[in-house]
Amino acid sequence: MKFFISLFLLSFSLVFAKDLTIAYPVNVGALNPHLYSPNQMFAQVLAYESLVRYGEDGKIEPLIASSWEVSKDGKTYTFFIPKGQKFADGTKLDAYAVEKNFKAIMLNKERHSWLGLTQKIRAFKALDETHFELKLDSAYSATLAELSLPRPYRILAPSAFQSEDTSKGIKKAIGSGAFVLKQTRLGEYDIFELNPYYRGKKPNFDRLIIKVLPDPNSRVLALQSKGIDLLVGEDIISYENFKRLSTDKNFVTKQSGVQGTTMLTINASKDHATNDMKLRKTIIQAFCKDVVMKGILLNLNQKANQLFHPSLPYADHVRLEKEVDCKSVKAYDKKVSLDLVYIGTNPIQKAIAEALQGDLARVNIHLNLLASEEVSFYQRQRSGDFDLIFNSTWGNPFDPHSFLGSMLEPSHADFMAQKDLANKAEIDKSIRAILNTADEQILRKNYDFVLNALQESYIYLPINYESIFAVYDKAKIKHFEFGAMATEFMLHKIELQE
Amino acid sequence: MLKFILKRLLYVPLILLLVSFVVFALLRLSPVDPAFSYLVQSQIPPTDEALNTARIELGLNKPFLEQYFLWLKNALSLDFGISYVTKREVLGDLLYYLPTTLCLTLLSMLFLICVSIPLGIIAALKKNSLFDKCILLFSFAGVSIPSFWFGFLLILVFTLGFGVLSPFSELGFTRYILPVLTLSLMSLCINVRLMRASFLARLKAPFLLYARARALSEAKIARTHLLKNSLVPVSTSLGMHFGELLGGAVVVEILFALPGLGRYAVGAIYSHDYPVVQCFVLLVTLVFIVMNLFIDILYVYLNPKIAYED
Repeated sequence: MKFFISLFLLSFSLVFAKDLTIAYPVNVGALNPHLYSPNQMFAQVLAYESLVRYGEDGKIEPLIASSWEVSKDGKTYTFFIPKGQKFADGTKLDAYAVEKNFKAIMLNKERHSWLGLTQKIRAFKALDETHFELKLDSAYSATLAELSLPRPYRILAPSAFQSEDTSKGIKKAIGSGAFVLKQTRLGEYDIFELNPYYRGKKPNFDRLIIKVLPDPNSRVLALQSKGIDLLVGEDIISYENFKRLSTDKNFVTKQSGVQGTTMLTINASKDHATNDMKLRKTIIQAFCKDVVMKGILLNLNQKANQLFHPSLPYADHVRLEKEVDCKSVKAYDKKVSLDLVYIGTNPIQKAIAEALQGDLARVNIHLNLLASEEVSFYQRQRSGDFDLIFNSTWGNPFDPHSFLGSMLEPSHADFMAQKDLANKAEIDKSIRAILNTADEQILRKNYDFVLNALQESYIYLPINYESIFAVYDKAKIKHFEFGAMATEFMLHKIELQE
Repeated sequence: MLKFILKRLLYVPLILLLVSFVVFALLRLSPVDPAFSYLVQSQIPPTDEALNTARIELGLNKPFLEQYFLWLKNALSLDFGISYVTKREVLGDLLYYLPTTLCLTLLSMLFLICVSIPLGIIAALKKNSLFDKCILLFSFAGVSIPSFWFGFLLILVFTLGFGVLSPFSELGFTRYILPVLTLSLMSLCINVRLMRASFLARLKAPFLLYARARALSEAKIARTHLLKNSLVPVSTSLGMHFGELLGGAVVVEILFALPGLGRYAVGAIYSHDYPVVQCFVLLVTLVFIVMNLFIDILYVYLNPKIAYED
């Protein structure tokens, strides 16, 4: 009898279960919170939580830790972890669980060395069940922002550890996020269910289905044919399709706040013609950005005139030059031929490159467009083998702090482009000062110097401030909102129509 | 015949060995550093230290021939390594994706045989009629339409228009209908024309006159003489169509979101996932060899005059 009742209840729940279906180009991966590809960031955010959350306007909000204290010298952070928190399997989430995760993360310190915080962590320990202490070598103003990233500082249930070293694999993807990964079919879908122990407000649906649809046009057709309910994410929907669907009464289109800057980096190193500042200035001034904004980006993004959006911390004191008419810029003294490298499979980059080629032809500059495949493109960025190359900042919460930090690394295009600038040593000194302080005055002074020095060096041609697109079926979804990070889609806050 | 088959089977390891060496060498000739590619895929900053570590980890610091023989040694025990991107075993993943591609290709092959042969015969029998002209037009249009465009058209008409055959629903037999139509269109159109031409050529053959002189029934003449003889050139082209279909499956799998081998391999090629590309080429080579052998055996059935002798 019991069997039949459970069978009846199961079939009842399957028939009446409410699903939210979205699409993504690849499977979400094994969902190891401390590793990178093939684990997808947006899914790591769904399943795992960090100590703190990066909220609107860069405000740090409580998540696992309900509060925190920072020592006067800015080197010690103490997080308070309230009692009673649980992971999705019902096991206890306390300071000892956090400590175990930090141990696992620091075992692979090299892998996470791109993060300023990883290099600063000197010690960490659980003081007791409710207090976790983090000690740094020196004060670091981006500590909380970097702790809030989708990876690696996310907390896995100790019961899901296979060994002390999570880089060798985990038993199961158990976190304290709103969702739990239940099923994966390679190349087809991933199914998430609700975490029964999730502390926040539970969504009004039972399952989240993520279908694997690699082709952007197929994703739009799937949305239009009600195969999926929502499309969201970076490069998930093209500009043209987003614009088209914005006029369709069956769908709602939304754009996130600014999530980074797309720009061209101009190589100022000595072995390139673009070492001449006058040439770099001519390139920047001759580029008719408004035409690109309208014709290629369909006025869906804001035009960028500086490296970081002025609303970002410390980015509001950049001295901008008066805009000149791109068509009346004086031609460069002599004929030069330059190479612009772009990713061949990126139609937006190709179109912008062609527009710039036309603009520069007016000022004696011949631009060779080099379509590169993705890995070669990054190889060129790293080796500095370019006159001009597409580049972008890392978005929230990396900008501007962590992105500036990366300029010190020779493995970045920015370093290669800047290395022969006359004031490179001063720029680096200021960046180091920024990375080693939490003092507001020192931060302000050095940010002002670095951002203005970069602006005046003409090595960046900012094009547009990026944002994330979302399109959803009005008949299915009542409410959707973006998170503050590019990979936080706030799917747990979605409300389906009753 | 048995000797022939055994001989062909004996060639298989040699062909695979040769192919594996050529692919291994070609991949290493690429200007892209596989260690750099590995770091990009793993989202690890490509610093000099990281590159050196990756080279040692992947065995790329060893001389080329040593790398190849190490790979070969592992491959002989069916260990084709770990994918740079998915971090999963390559052979396991390829065998997971293979059935979808084989199913799609074989269904398309079946569809193309079942449709193109009767259409070709009818067009030949009704030469210069309206039906024949319509078939001619259809064939020209069919070979000219790019498959990705035709696929989108089918989704627009059937899925968005009539609300049926959605390629975005659960994976079942009906999900294969639109992909099979898309994939087989070009080969089908070519085959219709070929079948028509082959049938017309046999209509004037002297053996028909002798068959009729022997007072054989028209049905028997059509079945045992006309059809079988007309199918010989068509069966040659079927071998080539199989290759076309297997290659074309890539586009169709991406378009219709089918979890197939082609889609997986293209992703691996884009990301320079060498272990996957290497194993994929070998697997496809093996499928081709088996298919060609099957076609060769089919010749003998269709025309016993063809004998494979040493």
